[in-house]
Formats: sequence, C-alpha cells, structure tokens
Amino acid sequence: MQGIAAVLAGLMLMVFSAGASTPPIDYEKVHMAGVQGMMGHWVRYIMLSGDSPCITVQIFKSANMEGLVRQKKICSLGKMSFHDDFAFVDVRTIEFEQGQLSLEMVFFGLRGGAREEGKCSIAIGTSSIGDLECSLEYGSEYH
Amino acid sequence: MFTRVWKRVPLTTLWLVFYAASPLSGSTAKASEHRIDYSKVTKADIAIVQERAVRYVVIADNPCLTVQSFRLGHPAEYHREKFICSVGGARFDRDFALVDFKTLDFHDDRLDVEVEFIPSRRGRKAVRWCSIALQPDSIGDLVCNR
Repeated sequence: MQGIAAVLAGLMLMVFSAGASTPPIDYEKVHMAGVQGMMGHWVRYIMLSGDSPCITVQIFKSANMEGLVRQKKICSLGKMSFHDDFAFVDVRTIEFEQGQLSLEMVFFGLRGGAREEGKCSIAIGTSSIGDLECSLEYGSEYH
Repeated sequence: MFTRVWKRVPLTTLWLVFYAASPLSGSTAKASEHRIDYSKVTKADIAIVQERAVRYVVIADNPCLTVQSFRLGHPAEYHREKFICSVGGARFDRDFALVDFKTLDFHDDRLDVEVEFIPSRRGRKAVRWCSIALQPDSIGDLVCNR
C-alpha cells in the first residue's frame, strides 16, 4: 500500500514539476528568435509580441527543437522587474557567443525616464541558463 | 537582432503593432495549406518596411521561408503571407538536400537573405545572396544573384 502511495506521489510530483518548468508559450506570437548549437545542445532564444520584453531561453537536445532540456523566462535584471521597475526596456540585439548570449539592451527608469544602455549577457551551460547580467551604471543590485 | 533599418525604433512600438495584429488566425485559405508549427521556430524577426510590419519566420523541419505583413494601426488586420518554397523553378523540398537561410536583413524595400543551397544530387553546395522585394501590397519571390 505504501509502495502504491509512493508511486502515485512520485507521478503527481512529475506531472506538477513538468507543468511548472514548461509553461505554455504562444509561439505564434514570435517576434524575435534565433538558434545555435552550443556544447552538444541547441540553444534558442525567443521573444514574443505582447510579452515585452521578456526573453525565453531554451536548451534542446536536437536541432529540430525537440527534447527540451532546460527553459528559462527572463523578465528581470537582478531584483528589478522589467514590467514593474522600469518605464521601458528594449532589447536591441541578441547574439550567440562562446558559452553565453550577448545582448545590447536599453533601460528607461521609472523616475525621470533616465536612460541607460549597455551590454548584457546570459550564461549558457550544458544544461543550465544563467540570469541576465548587465554592465550598467545603475548600481550593483542590478548585476 | 533588430534590423538596421529600424534599429532605433523602440521595440515597444512594434510589439504593440504586432500584438494588435494577433491572433494570426485571420490568415487566408492559402495559409492553411501551409500549416506552420511555430513551436519549432528557429529564426524570426520583425521590422517596419514600406508602411507595413513585416515578419519572417524560419521553422525547423520546414524547407520554406515564411514572410508575413501586417497593417500598421489596424488591429487584427492580417495583410499578406507568402511561403517561399522555391527559387526559379527549383523547389526546396524536391531539388535540394538542404536549403539554409543563414542570415536575413531587412532593408527599406526588401528582405536580403544569404542562402546556402546543398544539392540533392552531385554538385557543390553554394552560398548565394538573394532578395525578396517588399512593397505595401506585395511580397516578392526569392531572387538570387548568380
């Protein structure tokens, strides 16, 4: 009996954790996307219209975008939410580099519309996706 | 990633324009003949060209390049869609082992595409610079330099 309960609990955990790690994405609203092979996997970034300016990064096993290994939706810089803590955030460019995604971004602050732009990066490992890190003058809490 | 032409235009503008144009279900019957599995998108970008928001989409396991245009300021008005599946008389799915859209760049009146053609039979692979004319009411064919 305990064995069955354990199996059921395990199954439920798998179902819920899978749901939590792969939220539905409305791919039809794709606005910007790119793919490149990195460290034996395929890494894709995708941005959707109406989702501005979150960046979803995914790692797949195969080049045809099957076998999702890892996925991360990035909507903040440090503790600062794109939606709530900035007036406007713009991603100018995204490029693949060795072990990372390199981005040019612009941030407009809520107060006075202070504009700050700079280079940012998202570290990519074999099965890990880092946070957004930027070289800006706002302060260390952003990095 | 955003185009040279409109690099300085805030992306928010396009997001609003494009978001207003969604969903894309208002496409023509022709579009239904070419079902697109957007979850397999490998390349995409959008820019304002000739007073239209123009998007290209490249899909894994799909030999065609899809180019779509949307009216500016007219929510939900999907305008044009074209599936580029051939060049001249040669079909991507029949006459080539692989057609790879390597780079795509929007310009004022066209979409430039660097394409690698790998022949299905004997022959060398070739990289060609190609172009698709973009006008307010039309999306041209793929035309490549020799």
